[in-house]
Amino acid sequence: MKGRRREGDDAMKSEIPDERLSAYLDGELSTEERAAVDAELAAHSEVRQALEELRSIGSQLRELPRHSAGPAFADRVVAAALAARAQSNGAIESNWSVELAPKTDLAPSPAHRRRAIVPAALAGLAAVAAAVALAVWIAGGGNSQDPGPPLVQGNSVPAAAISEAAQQALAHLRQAFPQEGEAVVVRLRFGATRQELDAALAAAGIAARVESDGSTGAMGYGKAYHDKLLEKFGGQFAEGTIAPADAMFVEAPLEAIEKAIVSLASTPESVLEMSPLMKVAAAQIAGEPDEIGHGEAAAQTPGAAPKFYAQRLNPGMFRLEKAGKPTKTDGQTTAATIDATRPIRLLILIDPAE
Amino acid sequence: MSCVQAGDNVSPCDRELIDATLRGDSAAFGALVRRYQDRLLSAVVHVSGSRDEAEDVVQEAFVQAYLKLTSFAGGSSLYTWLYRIAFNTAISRRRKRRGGALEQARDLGGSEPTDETEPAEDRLLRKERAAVVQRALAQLPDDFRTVLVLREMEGCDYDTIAQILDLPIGTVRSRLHRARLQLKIELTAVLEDRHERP
Repeated sequence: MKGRRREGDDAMKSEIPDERLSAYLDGELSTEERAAVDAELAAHSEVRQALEELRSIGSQLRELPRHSAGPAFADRVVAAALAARAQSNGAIESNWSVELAPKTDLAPSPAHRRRAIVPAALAGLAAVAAAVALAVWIAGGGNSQDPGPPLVQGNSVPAAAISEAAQQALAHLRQAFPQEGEAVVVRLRFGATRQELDAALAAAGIAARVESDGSTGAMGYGKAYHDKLLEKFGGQFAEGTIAPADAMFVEAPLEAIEKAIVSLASTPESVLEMSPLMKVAAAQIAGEPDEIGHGEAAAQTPGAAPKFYAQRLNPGMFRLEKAGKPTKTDGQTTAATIDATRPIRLLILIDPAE
Repeated sequence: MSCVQAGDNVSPCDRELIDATLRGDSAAFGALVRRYQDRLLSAVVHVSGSRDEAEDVVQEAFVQAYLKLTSFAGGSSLYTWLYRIAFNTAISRRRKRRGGALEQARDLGGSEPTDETEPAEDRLLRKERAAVVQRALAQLPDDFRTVLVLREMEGCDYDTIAQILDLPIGTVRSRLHRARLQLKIELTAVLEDRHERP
């Protein structure tokens, strides 16, 4: 009937604490407390209304979209975790050391510049089973086994935390440091997937670029390599070469590249072999400006993210000499200075061999 | 979706993957990451207020978990432990940048359940409601937003929330209630703001 009121309704306000109503909604009350709230709900309309409002809040929150991390996320996490483990094990003495800079510290900075003198004469390289990742130029003859004095102080990667394969790869990398305007081409082989490679590069602060991003620098160096190889084989590729399984052009500081190598070859069973092929000079690329300013005059905007990248290339554009054929070095390299923060250019040709 | 509750032990599957990871099997760790990455990301997105920030937080949380895995004694579920690391990381990063509520609600994206029978106008209304709720949620202080996400979106009970956030259960209970009331106020404010705009 109109005007009829339920006994107790509005005659006495509910005295249950507000937060007990939330706990009732969440099923977090004891039996006795729940019975008390049930009684209040039956007696007071405002309590029922308050409960419905709380219930509505939850319903609206549960309607919010869920998020998916994507298929490559786990690979990036694993790579980052392995790299972090390598850094956290603490420095120990070794005959060389590698400084792994944090991701945000990769921009060149006079206060953090690290240098070392590389022996003038470097040994030639034997062609070895190759594949993956970094292009390393080993120029000149001489003693390639001595990578020179340790470069870094402070955060060093303990030798015990790095596989022997990674140690050798890092030593070759340091010995073959390219000069300004040079790019080095190398074949590498390692026992991991392309996703793991991308993850290792990403964890080291080297962004992935797809082929369509198209840097003319990458294409220019690739063409110069192609022309030199063609010249070496007298214009006949077919018998002496094989097609690479994949190719990429990397422009990043040495320290970031080393970080990626370490994470790729972090266990004793890791396979990682590299051998340099040849060096290509920027002067051979007509009209190709430096994409990244080097040294103190780096043209980067203060605070801007470093333009370090690894760009996928069409492997069909390249050839690799069949394994076993010795490579010739491309002249001697005089005493050079390694600046681990300066971006270097690498053309990576992935060996399809097991 | 339900939160693995604080009283649960480490599941046998998690235990095997943890043991394998500790033996140096990085693929096992990858499997653990894939098992929990989406749930963690969905929760952290609303705490961080940014999809990109949330990805960084979750990655950092997994890396920390990897480095500290030997200290994980199994006293809680692995997920509770991961949640705790992730939420601590998220809050810590936010406090380093600024305090208080998120400056503005951004479109956080995310995927919605696909219902091909749902009329287009209903789908639009649902998206509109979600935008309103996200905007209101972003106005809350971090501690209010965190308990709401854990309770309402992750289904965690009070004991689990207390473990994750290292709070007394009584605090969880009162904070959750106040968070709900505050969200109600913010929802009203957002809706009024939308009505006032031409």
